[in-house]
Amino acid sequence: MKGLEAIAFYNGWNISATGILIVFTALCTLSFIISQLHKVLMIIEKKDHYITKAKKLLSRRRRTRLRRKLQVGTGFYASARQFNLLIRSVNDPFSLPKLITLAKKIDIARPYATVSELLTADIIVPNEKGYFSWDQDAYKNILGKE
Amino acid sequence: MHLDLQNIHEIDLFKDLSSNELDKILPHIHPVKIFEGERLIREGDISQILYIILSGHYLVYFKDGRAFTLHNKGDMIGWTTIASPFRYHESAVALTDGEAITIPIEDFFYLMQSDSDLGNKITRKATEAVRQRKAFVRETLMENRPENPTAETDKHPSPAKGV
Repeated sequence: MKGLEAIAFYNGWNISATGILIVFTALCTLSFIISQLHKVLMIIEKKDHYITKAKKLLSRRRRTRLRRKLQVGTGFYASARQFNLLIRSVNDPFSLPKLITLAKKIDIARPYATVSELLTADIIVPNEKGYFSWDQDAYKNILGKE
Repeated sequence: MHLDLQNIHEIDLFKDLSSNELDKILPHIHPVKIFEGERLIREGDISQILYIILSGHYLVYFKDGRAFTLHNKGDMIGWTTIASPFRYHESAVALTDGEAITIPIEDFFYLMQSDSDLGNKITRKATEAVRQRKAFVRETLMENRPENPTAETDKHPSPAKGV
């Protein structure tokens, strides 16, 4: 048995076809990687920018989840908007009892319940010294779309 | 509002008490309903009632504007009712409707006199709870501690301004 007959007998055609397929697949993969390499290099060069972007995206998802859980009373959104305006007239961090006193003076509806809901939503955030801060990003995420 | 032994036993202050001891305190604690915006205690007033939170959100604040919130079952408001100098160190207001149990000072002292072991257990737990509170509460207590607490109890300071 010689020549083409011997090749066919010992699965030479199949082996050749498999080899060609493997080599072409590897070459295609390699060429794809090389074609995309400039994007990877760009990400490495601007990694700080992309890390910040990823963090923002993650925090937005977390707040969206929080927003779904938040159950608020009637008039909360209107009162919270008034608090958002009121907060501009006080220093940050601010005294929460004084903020409530101010809210009562300008007749914001249900100031106590609204403050409780703003605390639950992490829009008003306490610090270790007993004062509080207003998280504008959380406010925008929770109330901005209402 | 229904208040049974099981309900009371879940509160940290009474966790270590036996069934007999719980039976003894049951007639001396009173469940109350609290409404949004209701002032519970006022800084400087003579301590009359200890509040133990069952539900709701509460704002505890000081004259200098600092504040913290309480919302856990078993948190105490007005702990100076059962400890020296028996004068409220802070004011407290309810941010939402809620429920609490109260222990009037006369009832607490009656318990202390009738069963010193029980009184000691409650006082020890209360001290532990206060120690766990935030640093600024302790700072305030140190700053405002009167030099002679017994002399101080006879005075009637003007009410605190605030919420």
